Amino acid sequence: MTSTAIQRTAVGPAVRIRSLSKSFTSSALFSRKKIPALRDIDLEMQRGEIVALVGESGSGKSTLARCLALLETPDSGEVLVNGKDIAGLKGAAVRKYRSEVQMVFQDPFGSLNPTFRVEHILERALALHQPEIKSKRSEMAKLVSTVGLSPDVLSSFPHELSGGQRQRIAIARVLAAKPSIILADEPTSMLDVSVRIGVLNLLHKLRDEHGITILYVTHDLASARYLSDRIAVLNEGRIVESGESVQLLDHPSHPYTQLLVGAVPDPDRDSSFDAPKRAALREQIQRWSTSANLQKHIIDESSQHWVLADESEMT
Amino acid sequence: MSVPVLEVQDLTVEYVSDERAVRGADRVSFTIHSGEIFGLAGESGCGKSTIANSIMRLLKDPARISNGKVLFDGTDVLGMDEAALRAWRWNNVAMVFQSAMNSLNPVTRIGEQFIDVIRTHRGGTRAAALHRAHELLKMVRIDPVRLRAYPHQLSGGQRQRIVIAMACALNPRLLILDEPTTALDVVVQQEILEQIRELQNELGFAILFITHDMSLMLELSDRIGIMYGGRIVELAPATTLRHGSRHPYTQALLGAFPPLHGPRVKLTGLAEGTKFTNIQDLEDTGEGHWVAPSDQPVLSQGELL
Ligand SMILES: Nc1ncnc2c1ncn2[C@@H]1O[C@H](COP(=O)(O)OP(=O)(O)OP(=O)(O)O)[C@@H](O)[C@H]1O
Ligand SMILES: Nc1ncnc2c1ncn2[C@@H]1O[C@H](COP(=O)(O)OP(=O)(O)OP(=O)(O)O)[C@@H](O)[C@H]1O
Ligand SMILES: [Mg+2]
Ligand SMILES: [Mg+2]
Repeated sequence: MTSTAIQRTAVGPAVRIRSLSKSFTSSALFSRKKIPALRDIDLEMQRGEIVALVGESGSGKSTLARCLALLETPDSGEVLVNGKDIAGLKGAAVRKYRSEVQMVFQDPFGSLNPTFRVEHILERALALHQPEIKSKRSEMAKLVSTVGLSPDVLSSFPHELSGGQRQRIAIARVLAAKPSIILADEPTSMLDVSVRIGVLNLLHKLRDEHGITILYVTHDLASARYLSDRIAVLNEGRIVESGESVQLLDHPSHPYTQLLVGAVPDPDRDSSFDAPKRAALREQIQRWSTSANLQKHIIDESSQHWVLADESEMT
Repeated sequence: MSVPVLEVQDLTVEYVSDERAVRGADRVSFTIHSGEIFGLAGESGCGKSTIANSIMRLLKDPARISNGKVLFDGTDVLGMDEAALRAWRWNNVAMVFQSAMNSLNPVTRIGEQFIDVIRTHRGGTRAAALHRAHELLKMVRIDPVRLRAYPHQLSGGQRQRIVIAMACALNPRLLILDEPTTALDVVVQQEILEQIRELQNELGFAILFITHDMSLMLELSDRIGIMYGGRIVELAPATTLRHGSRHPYTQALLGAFPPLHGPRVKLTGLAEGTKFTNIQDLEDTGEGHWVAPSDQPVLSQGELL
């Protein structure tokens, strides 16, 4: 308890990632093709900051979250959490880290043990992370109501729950651990808007009231803008643009960000999308990302808005 | 209009266990015509997957269809025996499950899984099946080299796309998509759905599209059913629903989008404690627009963040 308190008041960001890279080898028989999932990632998160990680499918979002959760080992680079290098953690320190840094997994169907009732899943999380709590039963009821479910679900098995209900149990389990950092990988992808807003408001409240730092992985730009202080855009394993959320979405500078912003479903749009315009953007993205001399260019100093580009694109 | 491909009539499904009985779907009726995209949206837990699983005859214990009919081309699906079901699934109707990300066989390479599905249901050579798999992967914008990958080597969205491609493999007459794009960014999502729509125009199959994403649903569907607590509360053509929704729950769904521009406003979703109970049967308000009567007021929202 005291060590947490000290850590939380310590100076410096909650998370500092420096030149992190990670690649996977594909299992093609003859060609051992390397898939670079993350390339030279720099990312800082201040205490109590909510950062949204957006980007296309396969761009490396989950891999980055999993590196932070100690579920993947980076090839190179450094991850400091509360000032400490997480690569060196062992034994008890790993367990402690895992309760401080909690992850909501992308797939609620795969991440809950199917053989246990919800109450068992939550009880275990409480026993592990908050052993001081006496009345587990009422705490569990509180947890499920926080995520908008009735206490009835406690006696259910995961397969008896709908997709969105499971997703909320996964969130409740994370809350049971009282973490200081939450890595939320698409935590609301299966929730209808009205429930989703409730969960986003909850995350917001956790940050406001407990100073929890949140990495919010999503493909939903509107919810990223709603929840996060800052957005980082990932494209093919690189952060290509980052900045304060509203500023970034109002002035997307990288062609990939422009593509994303332009594709947000709009029921009032007549034709589905403008194919030639999209092809042109894709060409531009290709040119930008293959440039040999990529540098960060500041778009707006006060909102820390920058874009990764070749000098020649910036004129 | 043409004959319906699918007719669901008064379908009621219950999950009965020692501890509780849950009505997963409650007197649900709708039809889907060939070449039509029918969207089903609604709150989490309202019974969307239950309906999809009933149509596919994939409900397991303790689920029980206690009332209603499912007709495919006029044939009673609930009365089919195992052999008839096997011949019918994949060839006539294919489904992408909500758990798609998790529904591939973890120990078999993707390519083998395609070959297996195609050859089991359509026959043909391995080479032909593999060729088809290549085409399908390109359709969902994944490099066909990935046919050699195992599921765990793919990202969540890549796995979802593989499963969508697999469901299209045999050109079924009805495609059921249960939250098929939860892990896809808007760009990929739009392009895949566009591909599916093109395929659909070409081959004329019908789609039952389940999602909670109303903007996506409005963009894609011809007609939409909105569900709440096991019941359909509103049913209308997409264009009607967009500006003329009548049920307060539909209005809540349509009104709870965080905007992409303008000031950041705190939203509340469905106001705390708002519940719709004892939902009445749909009433015809003309022009294919059906609404369940409700006396709940529409929610208000909009305090600045
Ligand atoms: N264990 C693995 N073996 C091989 N390749 C992998 C492995 N895990 C991930 N990859 C690859 O790394 C890339 C990044 O994957 P990641 O899961 O981080 O993407 P993502 O941004 O989370 O995508 P999505 O939005 O679809 O979930 C993908 O091309 C993926 O196929
Ligand atoms: N095997 C089961 N046993 C008991 N109850 C179940 C079972 N499967 C589903 N239910 C209940 O039936 C209701 C409808 O579930 P269903 O999965 O159809 O919802 P859904 O509309 O698909 O929700 P979501 O959008 O969250 O996936 C839920 O309240 C769920 O808890
Ligand atoms: Mg992912
Ligand atoms: Mg469902």
